[in-house]
Amino acid sequence: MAYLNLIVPVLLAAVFLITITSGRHRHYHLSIALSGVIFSALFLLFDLPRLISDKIIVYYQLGWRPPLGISFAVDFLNYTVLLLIIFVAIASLFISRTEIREGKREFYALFMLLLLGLSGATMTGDIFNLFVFFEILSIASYALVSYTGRKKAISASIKYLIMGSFSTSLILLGIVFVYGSLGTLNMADIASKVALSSTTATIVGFGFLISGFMFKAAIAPFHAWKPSVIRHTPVSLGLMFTASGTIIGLYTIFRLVVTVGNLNLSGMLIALSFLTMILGAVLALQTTDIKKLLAYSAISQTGYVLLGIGLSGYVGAVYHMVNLVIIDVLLFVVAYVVIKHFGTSNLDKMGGLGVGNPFLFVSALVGVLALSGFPMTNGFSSKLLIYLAGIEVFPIATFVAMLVSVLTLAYSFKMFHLIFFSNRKGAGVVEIDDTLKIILIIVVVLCVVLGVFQGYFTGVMGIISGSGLDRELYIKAVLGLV
Amino acid sequence: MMTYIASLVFVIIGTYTVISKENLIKKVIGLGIFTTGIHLLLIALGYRFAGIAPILLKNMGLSYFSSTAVDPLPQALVLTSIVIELSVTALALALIIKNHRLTGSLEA
Repeated sequence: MAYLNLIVPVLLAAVFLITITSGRHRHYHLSIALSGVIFSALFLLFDLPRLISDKIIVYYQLGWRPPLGISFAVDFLNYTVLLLIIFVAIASLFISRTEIREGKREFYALFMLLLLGLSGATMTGDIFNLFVFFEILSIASYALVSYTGRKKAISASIKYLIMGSFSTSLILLGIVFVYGSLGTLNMADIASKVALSSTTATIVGFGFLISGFMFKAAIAPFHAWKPSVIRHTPVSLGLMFTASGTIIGLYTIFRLVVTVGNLNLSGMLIALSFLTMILGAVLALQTTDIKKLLAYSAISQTGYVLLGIGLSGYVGAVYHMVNLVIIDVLLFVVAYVVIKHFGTSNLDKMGGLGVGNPFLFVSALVGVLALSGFPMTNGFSSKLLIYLAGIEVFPIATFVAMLVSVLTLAYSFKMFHLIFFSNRKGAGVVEIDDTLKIILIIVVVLCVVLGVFQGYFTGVMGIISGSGLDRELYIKAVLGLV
Repeated sequence: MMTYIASLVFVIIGTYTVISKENLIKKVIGLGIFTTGIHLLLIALGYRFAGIAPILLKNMGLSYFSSTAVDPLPQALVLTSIVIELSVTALALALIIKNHRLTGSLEA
């Protein structure tokens, strides 16, 4: 009996409870949502001892053993991803506390549905189940984008819906090819059969699957939806889409390419990561909207993780995936506070916060330094690992990654300068909620700790990525051959 | 073989419609055609000429069953996928109506 399998039912119960709570009891919605998330976090922590002793937790739905039944398989890799997703959800719920004023019931119900899809897609060990959870999270996010009801939000939501459902159809097409050639849907079973009986159809199927998931992770050339979606949604949702959406896409790509498919796609992944890194950084340089800038920056950073996977530097890739989420939370909280203060997300209309806001100044400075990979911050530790992986195999990759790092420094300091210095003098003191202050402190401390104790955390990330690489254990544990 | 070609034609028509048409209703129709093509492919995978329903009866030999019964899994998958497609289409049409009320146009 694992606690992990209770996460999806608990989140679903939260969705129903929020839906039946009437509009009169306004603050109940947030409380129900938060308690659902906190229960999930507790279930996750209860299972940690078992995970450490067994290295992988497998749960058979309704007792049907794979390959017949659907199973949940959680090793260190999905566990970390799930933990990060729940952390992001807590942060964005705290942002939404003051941000969301109307339509709370709809917002929190859809938010929990999105979280349900994310956590289910992380835990599942069956590709069709993965597709279903991806559709749940996609439908929830299409509806969430349009939730403000503004003209531009609706238009962004329709575009996102058409592109998004096209990409999920590609995932289904990939599943058809994989099932047709291997005759199974269980990931571990696919992993055990792919070496012996894979045909061209299997490879084509994996191609469709990976391109579908690349859309979710917003990897170029599938990135176009992200900036416009983030521009027109509340910041709390922007954080959820950027951090959780990216990490779930990257996780599924990692799982499919490395654990399940054991494919050699390094050429393609490196090429796409170059495109993603450079395009994201260049577009971030020319935009003047803080939300769009953060979206482009997230796209650019996603490229680093993909480069890490492509160069077989899995430790660096996982390390950067974790850092990406932490930095995203930090910058989005700062962005929320700043946007609330100025009443606009246009960077040109901001400025002068450098006087009288020491707390915000230091947090933003740590965030910007970590994003551009300054030594002693977490961004440096992970980028260093990716650079080192590149030098061994493909030095040009390291060169390009360093070049993009310079661009990152340029656009992040452009943002920093426009918020805190620029022309206006003394734009007043920014109010920060106590809850948001606590989140900022936690995230800043994480940024520094993950950067300073680099050696220790490299070991931890080695264990996490190692469990994603251990195909033997995964196959044996899920199929019950141990 | 015919079914595979038909599903390919559906997928191509669907992709073309989604990419080339400006009208949002037509785009949604294109998405529908695209997914129908995939469903057809999936059904064709599980099809068996003169197959029987995949229910094992008492007086039926296992070898006879495994050589004549159709694969039930693709049908279950298609059923799930149709439900998902239905909800996506409903959401899309709702958003298009909302967009039409706000802007008076059927283009995003």
